[in-house]
Amino acid sequence: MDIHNLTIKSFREGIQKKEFSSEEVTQEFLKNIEKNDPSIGSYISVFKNEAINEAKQADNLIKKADKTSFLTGVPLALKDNLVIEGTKTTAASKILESYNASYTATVIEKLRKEHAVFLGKTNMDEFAMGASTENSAFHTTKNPYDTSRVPGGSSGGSTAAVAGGFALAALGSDTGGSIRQPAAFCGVVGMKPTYGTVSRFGLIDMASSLDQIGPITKSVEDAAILFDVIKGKDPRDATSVEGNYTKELLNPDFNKTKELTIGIPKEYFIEGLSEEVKKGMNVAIQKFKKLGISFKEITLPHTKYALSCYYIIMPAEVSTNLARFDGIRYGREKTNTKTLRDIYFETKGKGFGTESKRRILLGTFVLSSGYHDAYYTKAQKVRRLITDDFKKAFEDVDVIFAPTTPTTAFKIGEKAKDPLSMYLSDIFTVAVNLAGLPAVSIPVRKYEIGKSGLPVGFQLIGKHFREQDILSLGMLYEKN
Amino acid sequence: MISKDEIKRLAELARIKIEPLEEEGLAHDFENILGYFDELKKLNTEDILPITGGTENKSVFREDEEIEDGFNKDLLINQFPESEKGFLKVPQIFSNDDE
Repeated sequence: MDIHNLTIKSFREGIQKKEFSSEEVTQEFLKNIEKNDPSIGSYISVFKNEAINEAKQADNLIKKADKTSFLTGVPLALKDNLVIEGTKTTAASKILESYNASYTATVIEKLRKEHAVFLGKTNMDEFAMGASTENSAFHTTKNPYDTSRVPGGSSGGSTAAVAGGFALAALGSDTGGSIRQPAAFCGVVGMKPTYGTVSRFGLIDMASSLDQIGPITKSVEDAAILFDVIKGKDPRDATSVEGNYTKELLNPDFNKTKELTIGIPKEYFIEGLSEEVKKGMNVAIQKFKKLGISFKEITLPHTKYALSCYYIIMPAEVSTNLARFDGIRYGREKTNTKTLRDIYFETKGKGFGTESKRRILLGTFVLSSGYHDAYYTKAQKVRRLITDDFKKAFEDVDVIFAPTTPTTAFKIGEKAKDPLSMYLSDIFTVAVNLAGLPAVSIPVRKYEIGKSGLPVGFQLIGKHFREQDILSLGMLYEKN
Repeated sequence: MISKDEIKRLAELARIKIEPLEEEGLAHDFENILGYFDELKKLNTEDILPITGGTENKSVFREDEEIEDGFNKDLLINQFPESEKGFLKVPQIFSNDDE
């Protein structure tokens, strides 16, 4: 068994044919983590003993052959902003360095019901704020394709783990591209579901009107399998909704898929798109055309305002969400001062990294008296225009095609000192979050570490609750 | 456009201690970031209603009954830097100078 080529689908087949057990596969992953992850840094914590125990339990269930599912015994990695009762959850922040969660995220409970195996928690930008994992308080994750480059972010630990053979699949979270951008940089599949389809209960909040948990996998088919398990309305997340999904989510009728029309928004093929990415987009479009998919040029006229709109709304929500880390209920800085007020200032001043402080202050600014209307309300109005652009476009087409990122993975340190250039890495991904749409990033072709250049990814954006459309097109693409 | 004093004021509002060296860097970053936002000013949004999310928000109703929230009370209290008899303990709110 070669863990690098294993998918959830082929793992299931191997298990059923008794070619290997979950414990054997889990051991292989743990061995590879121990040997090779130190040079990549995907993980913040590894659950060695727990993972082996979970795998043994899964194997027992498999032996009895009752009620096992696609995910039984599958070794997964989890982004470290998902809480598990009794375990460390840091969100890659110094402020939560010693935090032990007192409850368990809904997505984790759902995966436990399927008897998935949890290998550990992955690195990320602090509180999911960044596009490179360089904002982690602990270490920078490296891109398995080129260790001098970033894996993307903020779910860079999860995408590096899947690309590097340190997990069969993973969960990430996407607020402005944090699943899709690192998936594109690491040559894996990453999907941000429709806002509300996956419960956010137990996800450490960043920007609540934008955050969604989603799958990071080696194939589109695997992404569908993982999404199918984690979705669903949850009474503990009032914004969660029950989408109307059918069996076709997992078993699409490809004849129907071929009838879908893909729109190409001219605003996404602009100056600043690197030659490699441009080439990749042409390869993908030509392949879809050969498969009989028809394309149509569309326009999303407010695209150029999306990044500004996002970088006003997101920090505003961040500044309120992160206010709770004030040294009272979670970690506290040791301080000689005695008043509550001083504890707030000291704990936040020492506990938050530079990017967190920057966004908290930016959010405080756009919400402050005198600036609220000019920035925050203005951005909320622009958010409507951006959402309406998509609505109009979806009257003519079923799915929208776009590059996931303007460039391939950049060098570690290249953008770390210039926040605006780092923010520009999100230029093709943020509009989807503002509009609450589902989108999946798919590698243009099969990449092999050490043998091919840097990965390029394209995005398929769907209508609300139409994950089925983007996933079936993606499956068609990867099967041919 | 944004002065170091403005950064200080925001840090005061957000209750974060910012070192003098950080103030300068943040003022510089804000200059660039807010400059980038200027593009929005060119867009006329006079008759547009603001929205809070991308998906349509509908009112959600449920029975008024307790939901199993799954919190482990002991673990929750264990995370408090200070607690007494199961209660969250906080230091005095006013310093002696304020008295």
